[in-house]
Amino acid sequence: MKKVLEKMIRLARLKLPEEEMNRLTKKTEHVLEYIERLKELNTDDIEPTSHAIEVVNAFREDAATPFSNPKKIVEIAPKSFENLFEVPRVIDEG
Amino acid sequence: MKYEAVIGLEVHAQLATKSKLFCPCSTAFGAKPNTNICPVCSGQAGALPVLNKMAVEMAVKSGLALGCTIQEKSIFARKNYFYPDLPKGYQISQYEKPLCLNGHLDIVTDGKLKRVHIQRIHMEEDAGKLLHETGHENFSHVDLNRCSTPLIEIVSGPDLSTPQEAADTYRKLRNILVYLEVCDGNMQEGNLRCDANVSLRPIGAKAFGTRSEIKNVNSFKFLENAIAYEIKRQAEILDGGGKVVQETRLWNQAKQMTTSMRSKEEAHDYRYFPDPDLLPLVVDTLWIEKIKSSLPELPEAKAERFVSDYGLPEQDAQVLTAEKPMAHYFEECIVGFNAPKKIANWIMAELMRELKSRELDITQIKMKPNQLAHMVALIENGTISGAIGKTIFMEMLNSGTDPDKIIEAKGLKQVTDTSTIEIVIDKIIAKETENVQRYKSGKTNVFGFFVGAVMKEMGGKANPKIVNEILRKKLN
Ligand SMILES: [Zn+2]
Repeated sequence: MKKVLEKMIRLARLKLPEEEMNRLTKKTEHVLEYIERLKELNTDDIEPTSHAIEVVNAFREDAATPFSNPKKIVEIAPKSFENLFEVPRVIDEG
Repeated sequence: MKYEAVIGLEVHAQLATKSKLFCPCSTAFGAKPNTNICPVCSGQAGALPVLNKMAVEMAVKSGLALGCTIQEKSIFARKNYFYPDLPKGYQISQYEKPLCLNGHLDIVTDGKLKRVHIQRIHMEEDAGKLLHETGHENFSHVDLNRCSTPLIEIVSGPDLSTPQEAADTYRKLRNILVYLEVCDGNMQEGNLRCDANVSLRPIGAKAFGTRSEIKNVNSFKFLENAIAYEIKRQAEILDGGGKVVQETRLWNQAKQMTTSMRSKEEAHDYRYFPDPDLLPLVVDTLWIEKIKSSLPELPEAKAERFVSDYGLPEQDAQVLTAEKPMAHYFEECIVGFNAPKKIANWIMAELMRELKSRELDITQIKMKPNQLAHMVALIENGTISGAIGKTIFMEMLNSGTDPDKIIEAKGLKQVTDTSTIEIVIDKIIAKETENVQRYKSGKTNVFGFFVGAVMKEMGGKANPKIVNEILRKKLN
């Protein structure tokens, strides 16, 4: 279990102290045990639930309206350079 | 060992909506960086996405045109990964329940018809753009203008076996999307992109080999080059007893090779789950029927109509309808002068050759359809010769001037006045006594020489039929 949790935490870019890891491992084990119990139910004819409420389709019409202050969005970023967001160097070429 | 390639395509097409998929920001290309952004597409806490109805209709259109079954209910899911061009930390896509399933596309490669399976079409949002050439070299920079523009991803079955088939499939897909007006199809601007999955297996084997995914291919030619390279690379690995690694590779056109792309490798666990911010999408039969009735005529149907309505040969109809603007140009010409085969010949021979050598497309030229039509009419009614027609054609193409004006300015009108032609013929017969003797002794093949001489003397402007008649009369 701890291995799975470590992977999840790595994928979520989190860092947890050791005791927190131990606590979460136990907790997660409980959750998964519960899910195992739920699996005993026969759900053959039941559509998997994606949303809790039975509402569908909320649309907007296709019209372009500019946001009032896009500049502010760049300004509140942790780092910016001129009108661009600044991030650690990442490059795809192998 | 002999191998066969197994190739499947994933095509991303940007839908031609005015606004983004989940917010009202503009999708216009070429805007100043980070001007078309808002709290929704830049991933601010608490901002909520609302689906663009037009994007749904465009996706449904594409599905219908590709023979897919439109799913009554589809669901948006979060594809989770971290990358600086993705401000929310997830991309909204469709996973288990895409909008369109099970379609097909027919391609003809080397005269052979092949039906390519379309596995699915789903809707998703695009990511932002990373810039590496700006500011300090230790940093990259992000422009989120493109972030959250609507895309459809079209996934083909692993049905293709040559680079050419793959390019033909991609080309045909582009043509259909452009015909539908759901995508501009501009590969330079990145609104159509293609990834190719390539694997090899020994000929006759059933099981698939390990595949690599080639990304970054932005032209039909590059796609062919990249797949051909990848087939060769994998064959060499297998022949050497090695194993192909499942990975993403980038096509490098300058180096003519694919290279491994390692940076995203580890994170191929996207932990998809239904996006709780977006309601399920339900497209009912009534809506589908309404969209179906708005579908324009597609290339195949248009080609059939060109054969039945205009009496064009099948081949001509195919060539003229491959791209919508070209088909439109042809039909505009027909309005000007109803001689379909003659017009088709001019378009397919002269015009297409010039477009190719000038690297232009039909929408970029100055010559208007009615000008080309009028010129063909002038040839048909004998005002100009076919040869002069070519001169006028080039002039129209270069300047967009009306054929009548060109004829007047350059004095290109065909001479049909028999007395003028007779004077020239008399002069030539008087000069060419030896050839006249030859003709009279039965060597009638010198007749062509006389025609040529008259034409040359008259700058190609004499009516060939009249020249022939008078010459024959005089020589016999
Ligand atoms: Zn926005």
